[in-house]
Amino acid sequence: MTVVEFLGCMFLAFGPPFFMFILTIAHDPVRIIILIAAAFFWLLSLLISSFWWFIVYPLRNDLVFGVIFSVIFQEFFRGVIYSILRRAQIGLTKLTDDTTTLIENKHILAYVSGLGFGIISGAFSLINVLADSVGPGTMGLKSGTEMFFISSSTITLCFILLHTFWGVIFFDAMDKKNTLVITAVVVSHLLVSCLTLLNRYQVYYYTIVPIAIICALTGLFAFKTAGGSYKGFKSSFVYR
Amino acid sequence: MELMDGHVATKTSSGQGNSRHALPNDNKRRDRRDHPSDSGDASGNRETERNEQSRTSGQSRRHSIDIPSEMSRHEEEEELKYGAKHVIKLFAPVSLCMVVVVATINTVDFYSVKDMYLVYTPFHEESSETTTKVWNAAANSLILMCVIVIMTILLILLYKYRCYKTIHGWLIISSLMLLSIFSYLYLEEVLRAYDIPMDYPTLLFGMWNFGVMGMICIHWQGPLKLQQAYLIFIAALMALVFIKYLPEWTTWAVLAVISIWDLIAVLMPKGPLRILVETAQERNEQIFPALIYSSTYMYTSVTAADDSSTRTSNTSPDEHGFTRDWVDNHEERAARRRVDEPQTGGRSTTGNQANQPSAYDEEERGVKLGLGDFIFYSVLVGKASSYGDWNTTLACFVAILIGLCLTLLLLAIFQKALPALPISITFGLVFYFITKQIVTPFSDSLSNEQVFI
Amino acid sequence: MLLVKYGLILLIFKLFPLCCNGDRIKHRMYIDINASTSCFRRLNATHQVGCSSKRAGATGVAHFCEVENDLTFILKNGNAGPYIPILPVSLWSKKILQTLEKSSKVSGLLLYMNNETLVSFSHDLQCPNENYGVENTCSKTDDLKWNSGGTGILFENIRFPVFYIDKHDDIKTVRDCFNKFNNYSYDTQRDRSLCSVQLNSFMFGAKNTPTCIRRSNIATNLNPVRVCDPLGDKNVWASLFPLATYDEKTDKIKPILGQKYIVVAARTDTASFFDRTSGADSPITGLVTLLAVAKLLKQMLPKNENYNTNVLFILFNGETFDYIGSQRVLYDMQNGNFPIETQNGTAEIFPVIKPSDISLFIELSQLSRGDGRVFAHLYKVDSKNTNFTERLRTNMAASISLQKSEGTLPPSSVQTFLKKYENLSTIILTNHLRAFSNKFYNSIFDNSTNINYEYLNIGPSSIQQHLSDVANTISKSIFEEITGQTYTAQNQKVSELVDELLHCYLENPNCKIFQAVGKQPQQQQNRPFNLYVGVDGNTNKATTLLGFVLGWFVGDIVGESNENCTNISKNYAFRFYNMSVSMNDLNNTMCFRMVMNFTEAVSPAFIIKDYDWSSNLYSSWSESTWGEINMRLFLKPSTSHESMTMAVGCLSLLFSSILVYFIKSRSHILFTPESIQPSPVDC
Repeated sequence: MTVVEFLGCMFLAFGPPFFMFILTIAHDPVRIIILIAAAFFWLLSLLISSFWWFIVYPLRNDLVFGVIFSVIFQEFFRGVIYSILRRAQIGLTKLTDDTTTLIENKHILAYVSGLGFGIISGAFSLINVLADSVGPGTMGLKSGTEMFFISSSTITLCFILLHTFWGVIFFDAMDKKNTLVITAVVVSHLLVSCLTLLNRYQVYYYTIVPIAIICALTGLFAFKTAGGSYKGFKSSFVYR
Repeated sequence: MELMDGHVATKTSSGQGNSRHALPNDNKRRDRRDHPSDSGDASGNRETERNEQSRTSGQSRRHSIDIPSEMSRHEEEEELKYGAKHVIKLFAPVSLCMVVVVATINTVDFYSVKDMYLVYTPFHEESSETTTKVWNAAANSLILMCVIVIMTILLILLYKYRCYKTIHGWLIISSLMLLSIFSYLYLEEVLRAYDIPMDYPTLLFGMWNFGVMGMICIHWQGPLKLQQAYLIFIAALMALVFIKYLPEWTTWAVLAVISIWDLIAVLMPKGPLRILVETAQERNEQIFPALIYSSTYMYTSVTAADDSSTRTSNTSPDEHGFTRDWVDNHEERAARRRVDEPQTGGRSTTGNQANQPSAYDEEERGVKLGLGDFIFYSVLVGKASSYGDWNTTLACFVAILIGLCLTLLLLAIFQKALPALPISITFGLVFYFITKQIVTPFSDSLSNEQVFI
Repeated sequence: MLLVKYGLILLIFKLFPLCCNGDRIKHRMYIDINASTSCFRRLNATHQVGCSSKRAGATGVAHFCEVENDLTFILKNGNAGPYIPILPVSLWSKKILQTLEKSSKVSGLLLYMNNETLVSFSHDLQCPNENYGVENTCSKTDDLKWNSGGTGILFENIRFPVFYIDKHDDIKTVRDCFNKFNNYSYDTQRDRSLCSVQLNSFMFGAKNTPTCIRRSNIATNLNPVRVCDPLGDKNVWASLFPLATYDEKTDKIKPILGQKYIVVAARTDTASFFDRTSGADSPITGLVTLLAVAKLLKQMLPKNENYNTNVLFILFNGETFDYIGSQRVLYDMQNGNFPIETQNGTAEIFPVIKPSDISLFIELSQLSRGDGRVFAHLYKVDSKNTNFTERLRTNMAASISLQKSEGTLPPSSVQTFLKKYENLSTIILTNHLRAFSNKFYNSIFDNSTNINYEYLNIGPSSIQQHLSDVANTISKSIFEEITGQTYTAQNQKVSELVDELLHCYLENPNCKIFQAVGKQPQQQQNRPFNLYVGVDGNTNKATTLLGFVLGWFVGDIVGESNENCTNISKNYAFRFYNMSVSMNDLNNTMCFRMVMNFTEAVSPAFIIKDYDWSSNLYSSWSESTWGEINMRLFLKPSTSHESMTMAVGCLSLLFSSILVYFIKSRSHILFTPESIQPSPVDC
């Protein structure tokens, strides 16, 4: 029985976002609502990408096509939610108990909506796969390898984190009208998604390692964007 | 939710809502309030209230009159804050109800196997032709709808002519049925599904305690959490019954038809639910306490009831929201399905109420959602999950929550009672069909190739 | 423009149906083996027999065995268990069963067909139906074991599920999977993914029949689920001459009373360990002979010319399971409900036939050719059956020798009658003396090879010729018995008929005879009919067809075929059907009038109110219900892989919780907010 495998993969992919949600989101109703709203917008983007993929049936088997457009739609909707949130920010501050943090640190909104994007996209890519992994079997009988589930979960985790980071970077860049960074976000999203196209050849090392590196770099960049610095990092250890 | 409270209040000639504003019971709120005079005023009121449990709503109303007009602005902001909190307070039970239904559907085959149908759905969609199925579904849902309309009207007539005893008897019998027969059936199927042996004495002992406790909690009093748990369970049970006993396509048709009916019943000038709401407000009573989930205590204190001397028999104030059984009485469903209704009473946060549950005068305010809404949300999500595709389920779930959010937002804007089904169910249906037909193939082929977007 | 666009979209939707589902990951993980059949559970008054998996199915690592020795690896050294051995069906013996049951490493068993020539293969008991027959007619100690090769596995309670596959493709799939993943370096099996099998055959019924009948009872359950059904089907009977007269003018039916009856009986069912049966020797040889006798007798005696004896053909169903059919017929006879149900036992349409009205009971048992001998078993010798045996002897074809055996009573429906009416005059015609010559009694190997049958190959020593000779002998003897005259005419040729009938039952149900009776199976199956009795309430197609064939043989042509050829005239004395005139002229149909009907073949135990289950009076077999029976192959991940996944998952969980908590609690230090613009809030 691979309930074990199921649990392992679930912990791996959804453990970190779960703690992010519990520790940083759950206490504030407004954040929860924003998270769900972001998820909803991601869903809309998926819906439109699927429509597009579905309508252009000659290319239905070429996932590259669907993937590229899907990335574009997602980033577009990230822009949409950005403008909505910024517009609604004034109202939002009224809604929350945590007024100060939400106003003072505009990255929180970005972080929350990014996490919303990440969680829903992670869920959509992995949830059916995980549901299928509960049975007694594993991958590899007809095709694929045993590593299928764990690699899927790892990439899912990277994507959830990436979405969060992209959220932070993107919102900040929009605030500052920094086209370069916005482009960088879109391009890196495209890059990572296209990298996963290689997964069908089961060259997991060549996909997971670059994705993890990109994820780490993006993380660092987002950390920096959000006002983090090496100094602060060091002092956070020192300070009690 | 306060928002709604506000709106109900505006419509209430007696200004019950205003009185609520005047009774800031909530420490937190008071602290944050920047208007010094207000806070003083409020705390004063609060103290008084605490001291005399017998304070009447009339008196409080009087206080409200004193409130300076500029106050109301802050009041609104405050309301918005609590609004967000209350949205979450609804999210949790709604999600919980859906989780129960989805979990049951996925583990207990009984509820997804079609073998029997409700009497109200005489056409069983056994033909393989699409056209036949469509008209079957349409006819079924219309019949069911008529039953609901008739029952709703009956209920309103009873209410209008103050046949409270009849209504309450009806509600008690229905909830008793749900808590006994349907719970027993549920337990039996769960035991069967998990292949757990169980002896009759234990079973009967458990069922007896469960049922009696449920009746006490729902119709009289009990810990809030327990009452809420029972209400959620009842709603989930009812949703399962619908999923089980409605034919495939009829379920979807019913969802659509019901949300349209909801729209009509609540928003039309002569809509039955609207009449109901207004009558209740005129009488200064809680709206069908029996059919509604509340995030806070809904007990109006007996004293309060007494002094609203105009009321004949303050409809047993203890009965609180909950439901009745669906299978035979579809009617009320309509009633339940109405939106949230802000509650009477001052505002206290959850923490507050937890600390002093005894002070449940009119103080507690919370958000209310008809149990019917719970039921139909769960029917949608449960039905979606019965096809084994989790993406669809998830999409419906998110869509419904967003719909609920939007409804609550509109509520804050329009300040009047709104139907909670149309937006959510429309979103849910749209997302269900699109996800099932278009998104799932896409995302399945993505996850098959391990491509991530 | 817009219109064009929408038109295009519509077109696309039309061209590419909204489907594309079914490509879930799980379809890549599992291979369903659809053609598998399973052993299932049956219950009697005291026990449960057969097998059942756990609720979620039994899983185990596949281990393909060609010979018995291959099993030793599992039993001795298998370390990646539990295992599901895959054995050739010929190895399926009591010894293997005991070995496997003892081993804790076995969670199921898969058998596959192999064409090995076997000496003996029978899963029934050595003394079939011993407890419900006449006492002391079978003894396990003496040499009087009728089914001497019987292992009795059919009546064992087995703790694991047993499946059987007989399609070459399926066997190949399983073998390939085993070879690809499992069949090397057995010592390291633990450390790699292994080809495994899941057998899913959970049985709802348990313990015994009374228990499961109670559990199916509505009084204790809001949603009663039938957990078992009584075994049962229909008996078929037909009479040579009408049992009632019909006056067309007055529209009155008058039963013909005071007749004696010669009963010619056979059984119609067999069983096997799986949900597949063959049953060539038992029951098909007896059954086909009976049909041939009916055909011959009808030709010899087309009308009742004031004979006071009628011939009643009865085909008993469910005889394998403690004589269900014959017990029920006898029970009905005793209560005046045979051949049809009556009020208070008064004859209204048909005469009420009582056991005492039976003058002679002839049962046709296994009759395959063997060494060319036919034995007449006379349990209680009396003048009737002695005389009849003499007639048989004189009429017997030269190639067959008839031997009389007195005092022996093989397992047969007759036993039910003899148990209650020991003075009944009975003859059982079989091909064996003291033990079945059929070594494959009630097994899947009791097939056409077992009786040397080849379609369209009617040689002088063929089974077809043999059976038609036997049928001729019997019918001539019955003719003489009824008329008191010697039958002088030439032997009728029925060997072609016999050939076709055997073809129908053993090879192809879409045969000419089944088509002739107008109720042909709609080309749905090429597999021969399953002759397992099945459960009550669900009449087997084979039984229905059998009734029509028998009716066809004993029926009269009463006119052109037309729509009125039905029972709408409420003439209950007869049944009317449009049927082909002969099997070689299928398109020429006429209206046939026949005296044939079906009676319930459900044990009286299930209809007697407050039946005492411990009394052992009647058969108490019931069959458990089940949700689904299926089998699939999959790859079981190695333990090390599982633990690795789990470890990675837990690390991720732990690490992330610490990190998130750390960042959160230090966020004010980590993230120094940039200069805040003046808050846009206006207040």
